Amino acid sequence: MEYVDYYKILGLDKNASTEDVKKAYRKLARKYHPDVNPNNKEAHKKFQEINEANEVLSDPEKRKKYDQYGKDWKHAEEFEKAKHQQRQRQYSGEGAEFFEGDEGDFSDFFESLFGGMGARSGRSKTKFKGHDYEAELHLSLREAYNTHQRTLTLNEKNIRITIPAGVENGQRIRLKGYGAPGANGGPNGDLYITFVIEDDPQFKRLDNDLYTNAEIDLYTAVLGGEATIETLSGKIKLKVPAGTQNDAKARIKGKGFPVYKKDGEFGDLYITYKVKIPTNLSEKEKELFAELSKLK
Amino acid sequence: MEEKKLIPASELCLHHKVEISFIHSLQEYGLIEIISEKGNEYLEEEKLTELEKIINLHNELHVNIEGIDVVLHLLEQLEATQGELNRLRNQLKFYT
Repeated sequence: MEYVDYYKILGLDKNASTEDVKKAYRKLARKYHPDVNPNNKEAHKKFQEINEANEVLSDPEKRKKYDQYGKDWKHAEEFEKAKHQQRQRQYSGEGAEFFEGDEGDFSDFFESLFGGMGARSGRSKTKFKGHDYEAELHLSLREAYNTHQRTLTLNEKNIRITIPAGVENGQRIRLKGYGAPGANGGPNGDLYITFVIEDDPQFKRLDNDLYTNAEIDLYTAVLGGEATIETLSGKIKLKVPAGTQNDAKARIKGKGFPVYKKDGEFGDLYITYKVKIPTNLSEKEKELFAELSKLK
Repeated sequence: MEEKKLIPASELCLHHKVEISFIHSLQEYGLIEIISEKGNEYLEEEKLTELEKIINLHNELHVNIEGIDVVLHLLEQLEATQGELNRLRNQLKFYT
């Protein structure tokens, strides 16, 4: 557990008056308040820090205790022993990372010094509607290709969600009522899930189109023929026209990525042909290539 | 059609320690909609997140109603910009 410098957080020196604390807190609160920094984890964290610093420095008793503690910090093992068990919140789910959407707990440092005291003033801790939760869900490109179900566990409760095919990297969805319970009969908060789509080694995605490379041998490129191409919905055979150049492109309509929430609609698949030049030629092959070159 | 869930305005005021006149002012400025039924005033549950955001801006950051209106417009723009940024980031990822 690290010592937290509340003065530094509020940009104050140790002699700051209560009025200075109030002013510094208000200025920083306007900057980092969660309601003016949506989806900004850094700002939320910063807001918790300044809130905690204000909680301590604006209260003369707490400030006195904190100043004393700071002085004795190097001999603070006894405080370590008194450290409270962190309140447990169990979040899990394959590929899922959860975090509080709004105000969180006080730091371990605060808890060890002041125990589990709630907010005394300033930021009210209870909304009528419960707090929202935020989660990040990691999916492979192939998983995002199909509509599928996932089970997430949040506070020992299983939530089965359907992920529609075609979700985009960074897309955020709301699951109504899966946040923290409301206060005094208020409705539950919501659960917001942000999808993180991992890169695929074979396919690249641009909006609803997919891009891939396909290797063809020299003879197919020169004379034309067939190539077997892998798509996300299985292998397909493609006619390669005679005289296909290296890096030539072909478009296969409707073999790209599914369009989000538009059943049966797909983007296109763009194939870049990579012509494989034969190596380790036999004597006979070398002869034939030499003969060919003479014809030109 | 889905039925709208309603929250009595008085309950919300009690919980957040705001006067009902504040809620009325928000309606006058077109920031919220109050639904009147049989002499009672209600707020849509669906709009609670937005309303609690307004109350926080007012109570915790001491922003007046005109300021709240400006903040909400800017937040809307921020949301649209973040969506656009995400789309551009995905495109950039494609080209790198």
